[in-house]
Amino acid sequence: MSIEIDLSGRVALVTGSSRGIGRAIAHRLAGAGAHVVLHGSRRSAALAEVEAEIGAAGGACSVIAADLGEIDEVKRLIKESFAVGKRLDILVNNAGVLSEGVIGMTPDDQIRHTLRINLESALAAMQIAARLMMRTKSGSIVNLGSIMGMRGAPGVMAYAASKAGLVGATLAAAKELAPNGIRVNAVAPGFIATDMTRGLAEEILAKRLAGIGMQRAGEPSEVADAVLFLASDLSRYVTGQIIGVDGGMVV
Amino acid sequence: MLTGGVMDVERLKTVFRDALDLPEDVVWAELRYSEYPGWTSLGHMSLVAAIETEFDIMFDTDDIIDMSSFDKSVELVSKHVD
Repeated sequence: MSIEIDLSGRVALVTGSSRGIGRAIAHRLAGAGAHVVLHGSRRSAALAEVEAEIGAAGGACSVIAADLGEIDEVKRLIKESFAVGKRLDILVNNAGVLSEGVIGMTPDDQIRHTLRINLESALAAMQIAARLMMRTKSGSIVNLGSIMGMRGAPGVMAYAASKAGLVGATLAAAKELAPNGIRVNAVAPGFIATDMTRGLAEEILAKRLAGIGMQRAGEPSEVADAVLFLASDLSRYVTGQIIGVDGGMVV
Repeated sequence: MLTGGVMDVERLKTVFRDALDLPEDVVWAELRYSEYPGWTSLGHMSLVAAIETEFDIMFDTDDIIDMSSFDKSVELVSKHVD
């Protein structure tokens, strides 16, 4: 028996979908039939490329640029996403920045920026998206956490804090929104090969790979598959869960 | 139905009745958030969603916090539809 995931007729917003994991998620959701709203901080060539790829594959998508550093922009992003099809079924809070810095040497501005982009913008998005989803008494919100937010690691205090915050938000929102038919879950990727992780120092890179049971970095598509599951009706009775997608990584 | 840009209060009453399961003889002027048994914080969000759907508007978070009575709701909805 084959299982088909059908998201046709649904609108999905994927923040930060020009590159890496967000891009892979956008492709997966569009491939399953959803109308995907692609988002980037600006209308970049990379975003246009994703738009063209989805279109060429017969999928449907729109592009909205918004600076997640501004809460008003987050609100506009959600409202405009809703306006695309007069509904919002899936919200994937993927946009994020990787922030490295040892304790005692991380600038305050960097901490604020990390929390603003990775956590605060996602909370603002959830607030508005949940209200829109209440109209149809259904919806799925998927937050992109990180194994760093679950287990921690040296040199990423602000990043780990932002991702741990998302885990708490996921658990709380899942309980509050369950009576409204809205599910909230998260995936916690381990070490995934993206532009973001390619910038890591070599010794950190080697150390991370050594701690992975499957002895390789994950692919963005492998995270996207877990998100697709959580976004679809296959997980209709699943809420408040954090799914690790980490190949058995130990940090 | 909107007429001449003026918000239809009866339409809003219908939304309130359905969302909060109000009795026929409800005293609108006395209907206040957290005082009426069904108008809890959770009920409030469902009510807001119902109003937004009916009038095809979106409130700001501050509006939702300010929506403390039926009369206040009339005022806030009017602000968006006028």
